[in-house]
Amino acid sequence: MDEREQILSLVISLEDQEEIERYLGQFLAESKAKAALLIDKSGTVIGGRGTASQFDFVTISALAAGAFSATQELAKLLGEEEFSLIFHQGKRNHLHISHIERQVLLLVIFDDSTTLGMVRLFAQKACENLAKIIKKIREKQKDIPKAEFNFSDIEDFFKK
Amino acid sequence: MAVLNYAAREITCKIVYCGPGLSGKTVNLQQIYKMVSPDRRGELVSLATETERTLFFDFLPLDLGTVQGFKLRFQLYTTPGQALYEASRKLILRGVDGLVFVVDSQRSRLDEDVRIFEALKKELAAVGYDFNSLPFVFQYNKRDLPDIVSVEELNEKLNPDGKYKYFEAVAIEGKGVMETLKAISQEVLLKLTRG
Ligand SMILES: Nc1nc2c(ncn2[C@@H]2O[C@H](COP(=O)(O)OP(=O)(O)O)[C@@H](O)[C@H]2O)c(=O)[nH]1
Ligand SMILES: [Mg+2]
Repeated sequence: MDEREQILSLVISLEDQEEIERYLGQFLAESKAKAALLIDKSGTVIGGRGTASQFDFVTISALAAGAFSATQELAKLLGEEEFSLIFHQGKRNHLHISHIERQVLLLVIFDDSTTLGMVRLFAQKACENLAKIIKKIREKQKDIPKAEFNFSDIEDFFKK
Repeated sequence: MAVLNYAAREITCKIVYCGPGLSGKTVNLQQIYKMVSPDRRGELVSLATETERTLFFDFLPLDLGTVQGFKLRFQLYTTPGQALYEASRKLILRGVDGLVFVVDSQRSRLDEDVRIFEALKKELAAVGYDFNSLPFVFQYNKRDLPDIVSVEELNEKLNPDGKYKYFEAVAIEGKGVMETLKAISQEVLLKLTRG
């Protein structure tokens, strides 16, 4: 894994986003999971679909990315290259994390209307499709037009 | 790693507060949480140990407003300062877009401030970052305490070329906290513009 890749920003076009949401939607329909999130390993949400609106996706992503990275450190200590999937079991809701490619993870929240086996099966397929989109996004990165981001636009935020 | 989402018209940036243990990183996030109106921030999540030192991280998402038609979202993190937690520090630094280094101004903590600052630069290099090209500001915190190092001396030790902005703060009273956040926001936007 080339850590240097992480310095590049991800720029997601409307078209990419639609494609991502479509695959996530398809995954939810097949797996009967409640929510699926595509996140970057630094903890940022790239895309998400699901009915689980009571969850705070932003915070879940930050914590899950942290948990994932911590688990990878554990894997290394045990002489494994990685633990390629992580599963947290709750009483009602469960969380499944898969490693799509070097920078991106798929988080799935599901309950007992489906099974871990189903989630795993369809997550694998979704990951293959999503990996292709991420690859495409990376290849396009260079053609992004530059914009002026003026601080004065957000200055109000800092007024107490 | 900033994520620019043209579909959702959002830019998400990761800002990390680092510095030695107990310098006031968590307090910075707590104060920001208090000062920012609830519709502009999410919940503050703290993963702390019983001794109140940050074992893992604190996390606070902010919504700064709209620039160039994009909603600008900042995600603030703190890192554990203690050497022990180097592994978790590295993972929090992953994808960082801007850094705030919270200095403990107490004389007794000066060596630790310097040591952690040097270690940080090494850790950044290890995850592939060039420290010199990252948006960065200092916060000289705990200015209310009696036996503190002068700003001149702190600059001499930590910021000898005067390259970085620095802000005096009394984080527990909220002093200097927003100024610091504002400065790092400016640096990050400048970097986004210039690439
Ligand atoms: N006197 C004083 N104490 C502070 C200040 N900022 C933080 N502290 C205290 O320093 C201790 C450590 O702060 P904390 O934010 O938990 O440190 P962290 O390890 O960097 O997250 C706490 O007891 C705070 O109340 C300050 O400006 N002045
Ligand atoms: Mg802390």
